Amino acid sequence: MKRLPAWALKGSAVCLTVLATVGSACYVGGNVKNQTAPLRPALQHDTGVQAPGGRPGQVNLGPGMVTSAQPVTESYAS
Amino acid sequence: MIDTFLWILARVTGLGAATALAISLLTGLALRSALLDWLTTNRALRSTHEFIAILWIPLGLLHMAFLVLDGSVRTPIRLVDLVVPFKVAYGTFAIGLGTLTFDIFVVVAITGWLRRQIHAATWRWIHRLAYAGCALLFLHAVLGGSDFSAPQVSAIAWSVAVILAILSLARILWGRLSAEGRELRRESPSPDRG
Repeated sequence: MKRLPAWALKGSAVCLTVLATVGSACYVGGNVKNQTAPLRPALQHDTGVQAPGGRPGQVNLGPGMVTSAQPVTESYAS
Repeated sequence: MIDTFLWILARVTGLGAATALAISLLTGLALRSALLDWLTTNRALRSTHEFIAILWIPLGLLHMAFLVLDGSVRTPIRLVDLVVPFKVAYGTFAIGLGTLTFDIFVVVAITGWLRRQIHAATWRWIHRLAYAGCALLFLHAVLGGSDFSAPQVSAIAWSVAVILAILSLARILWGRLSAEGRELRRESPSPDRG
């Protein structure tokens, strides 16, 4: 069997690296935010408000105060 | 917007550099173990092994540059963190492993270029640090890589890592078994234990 010359090996290495890089670009471009990423550093634009049960750096978009009862419109004495 | 772009580029170049380093490790292993003896000559393999440095070095440097330039993180990676390991404010261990990997590969690459000026045995032992470098790189990717938790990426990465680990172990256990070595042994009764 004829053995591969150096230029063919180098070309294959370049092709494989380019393919892996382009494939990575396609994957990362479609998955910019990975919720299961091991490192989740605090970002500049984070407000620092943490959602209940959420991770640090996660922004709470819900209401800040939750009411648990109807407003009091009359008292026992009135 | 620009920060997100830099963040994407950092991840892409990191994965690209890891691929090029895996090819470099494979060709390096094949040089000494006759693994690809059926495919090519040792001369072509050596030439390819040296050539791949122009793939993984720029990709690795870009990976680090994009991480430093990414200003979206509150405690960004500083220039000093690229050289001194375990000083980053977040993901200290995972990112520190990446720094340590970089330090090792700087030594391996520089001594690779200065090979003729270094004693052969010394050079061989320094060059063997690349095995440790690759192991640290994999740990860095698993513990800190944003994409390694995704099955599409981790399936490929773990498969390649296991294959390379088995080949590296075989290389360590059985030592040198080059094509030239085998031919020499056929001709001469003295064993080649280089």
